[in-house]
Amino acid sequence: MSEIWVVSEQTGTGLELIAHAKGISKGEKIVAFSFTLEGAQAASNHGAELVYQMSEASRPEAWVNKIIEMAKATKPAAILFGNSRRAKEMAARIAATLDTGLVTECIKMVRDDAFVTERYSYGGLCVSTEETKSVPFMATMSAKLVEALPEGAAAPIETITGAEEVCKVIELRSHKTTSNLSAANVVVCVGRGLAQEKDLELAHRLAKKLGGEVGCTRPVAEDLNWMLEENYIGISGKMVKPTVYIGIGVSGQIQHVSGIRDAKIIIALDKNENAPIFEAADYGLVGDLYEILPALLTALGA
Amino acid sequence: MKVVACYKWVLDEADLTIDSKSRALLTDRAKNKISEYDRNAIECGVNLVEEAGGEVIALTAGTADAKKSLKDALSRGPVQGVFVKDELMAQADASVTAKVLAAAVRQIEAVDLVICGEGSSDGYSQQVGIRLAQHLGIPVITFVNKVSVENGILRAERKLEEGIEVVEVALPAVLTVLPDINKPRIPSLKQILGASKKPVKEISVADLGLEPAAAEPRVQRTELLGTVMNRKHIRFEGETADLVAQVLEVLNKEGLC
Repeated sequence: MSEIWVVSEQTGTGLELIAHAKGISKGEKIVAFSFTLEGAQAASNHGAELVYQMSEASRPEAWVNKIIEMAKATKPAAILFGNSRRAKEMAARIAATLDTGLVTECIKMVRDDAFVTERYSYGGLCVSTEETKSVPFMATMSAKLVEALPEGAAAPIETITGAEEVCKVIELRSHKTTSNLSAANVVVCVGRGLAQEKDLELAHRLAKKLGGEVGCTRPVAEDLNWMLEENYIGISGKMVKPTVYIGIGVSGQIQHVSGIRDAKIIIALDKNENAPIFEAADYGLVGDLYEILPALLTALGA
Repeated sequence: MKVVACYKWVLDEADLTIDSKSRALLTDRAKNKISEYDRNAIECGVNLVEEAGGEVIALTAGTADAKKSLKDALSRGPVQGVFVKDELMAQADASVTAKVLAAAVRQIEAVDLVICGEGSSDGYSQQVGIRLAQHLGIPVITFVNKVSVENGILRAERKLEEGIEVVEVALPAVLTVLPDINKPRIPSLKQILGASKKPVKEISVADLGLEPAAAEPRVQRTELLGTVMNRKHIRFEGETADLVAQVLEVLNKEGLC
């Protein structure tokens, strides 16, 4: 029987991939590759029909050759990955050796005779539709397009050996991540319209009152260093999906707008009436944020 | 140390517009440029050889139009350019580009390090450098924002979602670099003038000995349309108090205040 493989070092992503696999399956067996016991068990309980658990304490990247070997033997119809940096490296290495295509940051996937996918191009300005006929079909899937399948009967879990590390890993300096932007219900985003760093306090007060998080545009993080990089919202930073996004002094460059396009409601406040953000907003306020924002905070009791 | 820095000649997305009716991408006003992160790749290579000795060769694969790119690339420090010029590059996907570049690197011979940007500013599929390493049978270190080489050992820092991973690998290797690895130089007039004197080797895909099947894209684009953002575009008007009231109404409706 043919198989569809999903590979993820992150538990939640792995479950989404299983749901994606179910969506494109034409009766293929769904096989999950996990790198932790927790991930394997979750996959086993949420729709995988077989789970391979990579058993050693090696980086996911060290398993690429093993996965290639297994793919050459089993010839799966498709292999799906998440969008993490590790996943992108693994997927591209595997696709190269299997001489097949790879669609990265896939936002839509449909299977007819060919696998038809959509992804952004030119920094989010365009949507590109593509067809893959090569086998296996491979893609890295954007997050939160689907929900995990409901819990069901547990599938068997097999441990796999054979990691091959080509690099020497010296250390992993973990981020203490303070950012909760991806999951935030409300996002208050600051841009270059903010005159000075201490004015961030206004944004924090607003976010706190609304039960949200503060993010920024790329220049505020990278050039001004007013916020950590993990807080910048954009096509190569965080993608957010809040109920309400409020842009404060954000001009709305395409790379930033791509990161907020899934927000339910976009409110923009900027002094420049021609700022591109207004093309991307539901509600626009052209004015001085130093007048409007404090007044809003007062009205909210924030 | 012999370093090859790969780059792509792309449309400048700042010049691109969308036709509001047909959603077609309008490129008539667009100029080309060396893709952003590839400038970082070239700069990275040049910095490494400035420290450790050696030379950088700039490599690109593209249609005849890409010839103009070489002057820019060579003004940034490489000593020579290799240009794989072939009209089939107009249809190339990442799998084809990677095979073409790998064949070109093999032809250059005795390459210690290949540096690519993490992705191109047009398609940003983030694959070519990684595939390239796989075809060459050498390690790849991806998403690098810090690198050093000593005695044939490369040490790099990868910026991952969970933190910084520090790895070491013996050369030869491939790197894909992030934009925060360096700030690409603005070439001086002297460097720009000097660029036209540097040698450029022009070859075709056939010269590389690739099978025709290798040059067939595995992923084919069937459509490219402007992204649609269906938003209400409502402008709140009035004095500050009115504006605030209107915002509160929206927030209230979502149960936020």
